[in-house]
Amino acid sequence: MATSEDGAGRVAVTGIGVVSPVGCGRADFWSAIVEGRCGIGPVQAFDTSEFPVHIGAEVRGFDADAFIHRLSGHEVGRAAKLAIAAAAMAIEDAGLEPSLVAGRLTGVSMGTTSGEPLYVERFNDIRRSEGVESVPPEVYCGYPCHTIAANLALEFGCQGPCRILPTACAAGNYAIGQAFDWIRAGRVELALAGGADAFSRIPYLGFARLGAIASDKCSPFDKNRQGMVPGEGAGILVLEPLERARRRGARIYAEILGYGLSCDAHHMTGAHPEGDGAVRAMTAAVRESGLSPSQIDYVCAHGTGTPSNDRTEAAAHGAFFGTRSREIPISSIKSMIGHTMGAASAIEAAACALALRTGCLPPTIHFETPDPECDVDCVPNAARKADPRIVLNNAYAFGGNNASLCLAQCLS
Amino acid sequence: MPQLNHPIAVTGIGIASPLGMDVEAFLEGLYAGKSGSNPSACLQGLVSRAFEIEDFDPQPWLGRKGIRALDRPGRLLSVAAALALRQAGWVGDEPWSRGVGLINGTVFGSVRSICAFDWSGLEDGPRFVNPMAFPNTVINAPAGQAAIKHRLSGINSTVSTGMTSGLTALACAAEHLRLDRTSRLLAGGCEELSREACLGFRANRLLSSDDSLVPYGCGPSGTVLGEGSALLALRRESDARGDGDEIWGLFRGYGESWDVGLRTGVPDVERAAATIEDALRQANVGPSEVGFLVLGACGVPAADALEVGALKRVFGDRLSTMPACAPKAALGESQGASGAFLAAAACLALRRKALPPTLCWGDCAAPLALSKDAQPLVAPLGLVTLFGVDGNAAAAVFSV
Repeated sequence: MATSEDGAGRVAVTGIGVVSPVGCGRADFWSAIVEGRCGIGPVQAFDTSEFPVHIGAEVRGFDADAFIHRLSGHEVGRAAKLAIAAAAMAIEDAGLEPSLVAGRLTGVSMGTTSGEPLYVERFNDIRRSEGVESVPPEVYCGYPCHTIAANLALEFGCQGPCRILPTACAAGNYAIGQAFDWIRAGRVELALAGGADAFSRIPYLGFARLGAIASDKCSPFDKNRQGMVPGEGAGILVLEPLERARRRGARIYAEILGYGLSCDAHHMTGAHPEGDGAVRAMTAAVRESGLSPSQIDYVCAHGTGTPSNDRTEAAAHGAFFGTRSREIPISSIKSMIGHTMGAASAIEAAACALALRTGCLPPTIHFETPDPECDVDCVPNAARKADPRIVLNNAYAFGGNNASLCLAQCLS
Repeated sequence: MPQLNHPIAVTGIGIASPLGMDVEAFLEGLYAGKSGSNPSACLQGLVSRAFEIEDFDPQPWLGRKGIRALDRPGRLLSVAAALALRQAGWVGDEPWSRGVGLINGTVFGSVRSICAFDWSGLEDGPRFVNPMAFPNTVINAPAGQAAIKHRLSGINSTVSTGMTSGLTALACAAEHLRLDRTSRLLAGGCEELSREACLGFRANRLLSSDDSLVPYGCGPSGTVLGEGSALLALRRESDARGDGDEIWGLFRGYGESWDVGLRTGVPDVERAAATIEDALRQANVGPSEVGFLVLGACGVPAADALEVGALKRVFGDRLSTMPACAPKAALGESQGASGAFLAAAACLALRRKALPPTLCWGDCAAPLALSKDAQPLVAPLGLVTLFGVDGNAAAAVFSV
């Protein structure tokens, strides 16, 4: 897809809002990332004594309710609250008056893995203690995952398209891609796009029983990596047409060039061993952006830290970049924020936009021993000054859903 | 070259429904005035009847291998996919086979699988939970399972806009097709019957007190849950015509709204009407060109009244002359699947040049031209409307 100098048909990232285990708000989040701070610690949300592992990446000491006004006092799930807080921060970051966000030309495009699982927890807890007749009606209303997007739209008065793509751990990229499509089609003039997930015993139990959770840290690409660490959070980008952003003198973090989707069609939880689906998603993203692999300067990895994901991802990286693969840094911020599920690729897209704007690549922390099966430059342990022009943000999900997002420096 | 309003051709339909499996049985049942309602095994003790797919056995379409890992939505969607792929002729090993994708619209994925997984953790303790039950707890599991079963390695997505998800999936597919990302997509919806959803509908006073779904009942009235899956095989019209594909209908326009006031309790007829007008505008047609109506009325008075109000606002006095049908009387409220069932009904009406009969309706249907017989179309261009009890609204235009 050709891009034009005058900005027509181009999509800019003008605001970033993040609620994460290492910091909330664009500035705090990014300084934590650049410093290599770790947000993983002992799980506080529930009792893990019966679990084989006890660490998680929770958002602590953050009052999401302080960001909620129109919906204040209403029944709103935790994932939606984190999303609203992130969106409020993104809107302010974009320098937009709330009145400009309301209306039919603003879209809401969200992603999630679990939706609002705390309502399932509540449903089951009440069933066990008091019986199903005691479950209040709002537990049922609050649960369906589309309420995350709807609550966001309700809070900010957005009346354009409002959808959630519950495509698990690739959902953030899917959602940003959908909003990108809407803006290019002229369907909306503004979009709040990203993902959110709340910490819950349900996915924690699942990953624990799969043996996928690390016992003390998340160390992607390291030879002795033990696994992933479940987390929670929300990442929201404000997207708008580049020409409009320039006209109003907005700060432009980056430009979205395109994205690619593919499906492994191989296994529900394990990736295709040669990373075939991952390569196809990257290929599609780069092609749609009108580029070739040789123009990519950095990759923000899915990088969960499990032995199999990182090995497959490194294989895909090698297959896609060929002889240049060691020259293209690929780092995983999940080493710091854990796996924030549906929020992950949205928060990682935010990190990409900030890397492009500030000229700094996020590190992969906890890296001690190189793994010959993961022969990549993972930007070990320290953030690195660089001049990335074009980057790829990769995400891979259960169900074999793969999504790659291409972002570029935008010199406004 | 992406063409942003390019019509999308439906070149095949796959259906798993309470009226029967595959589009022929669905069509026969609809036009014979059959009801998919039966004494529900799944919801026993909660309600007496539901629109359940009795004795659902996926084996004839999926074989025996690998079925065990699939939960009910995974099976329903995979069967609908098998049928749609066969209908569309998307089987065999063509160069484009790898690029075929699937987009599933659903409210829950599988709330049964999610609840049961958490329950087992509480009852048996974390140490004894079956890890193999975890993959089905992600909302995109049915789409992932169907992709594995049928080797659909193109775009794979899951979308939720609540009750309208089955129509939104078509819009998502249209967006990808118009942008030239792919040339073939299955899109539609899937939802199973579940006690969890039934409890939710009951607690929120949305269920019919006598287990009958009467569209446009004036109250007290309610809905009856159903289940199933429908997938439409979609291509850009120019590609379908160029290849000589059989075309079941053209998807021309779409309108959506996340809340027309049902969620906030203040019905917004203007916004509801605007949803319809958006669909007409995208299809580049005016209200006078619409020749029939496929209506998503589900028996809940507030939602059905909003639908009538919106239709009156858009069509005025002409409304009483437009043949209309309300298929949920025969299919039930199948949530994420319902939009896809309605879209399928619209395509079948175009094909048959007649609208299926409606089993029953209430006094609040005036001035809609519903009928217990099949009705000829005034013109081969129809409007589907769907106003969900959760506030989501959608409208879609189909034509020859």
